[in-house]
Amino acid sequence: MTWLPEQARGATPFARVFDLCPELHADWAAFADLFSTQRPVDPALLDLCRVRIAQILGGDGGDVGAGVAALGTESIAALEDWQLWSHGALDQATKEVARLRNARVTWVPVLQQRALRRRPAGRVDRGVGGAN
Amino acid sequence: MRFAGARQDGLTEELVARIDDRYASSGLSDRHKAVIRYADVFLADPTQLGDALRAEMLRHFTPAQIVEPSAGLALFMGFSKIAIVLGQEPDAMATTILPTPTRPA
Repeated sequence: MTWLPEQARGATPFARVFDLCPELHADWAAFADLFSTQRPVDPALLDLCRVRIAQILGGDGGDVGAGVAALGTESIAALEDWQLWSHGALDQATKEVARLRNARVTWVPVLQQRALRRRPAGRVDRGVGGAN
Repeated sequence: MRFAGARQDGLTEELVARIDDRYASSGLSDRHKAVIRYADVFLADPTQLGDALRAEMLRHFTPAQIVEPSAGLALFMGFSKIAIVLGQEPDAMATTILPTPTRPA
């Protein structure tokens, strides 16, 4: 529930707030849509990252995109697991992204990216690169 | 880096110099202080946005005007992180004024 005293019409709480600036919302949607239409990276991998960010920020990840939904709830639940590296539900590329948590740089892409050191960065690079 | 549009609308280096950890006691306007406080919470821990700051924001901005900087903060924060996490951040850089990004024709 938003704390803003006004809301626009919209299908979701996010849309009801963002549609207070409808042109901005439309432009954002067009930009976000590029990631699903042009598919520069596996959409499921991207959505897992988005869900992970939501988890770190204290949310539940909200709507799960079709790509992640296809992976199943087990992969999403696995993101909460401290022992991600040994979790069988995640593929190698996803583990490389999620493994940052085990390296005590959990918030690297979200809050403390200056802490990203060469070694985990290299693993992420290899993992994501290997997914393409 | 500064955007030309902000420059034209009055963003001076004297104003920028006031934006440090002591901004709350600086000569910035209450409106500027409110949005910087909002930026701090947005960046550090958005779950900590309290009633006082909500009320302060609503004193200075309409709901739509709050959505705009919220989206802007998300954009600037996210893309700043790209520059840092991918190693594109220069060690030093003179103040550079860039054209404000515009929508492609």
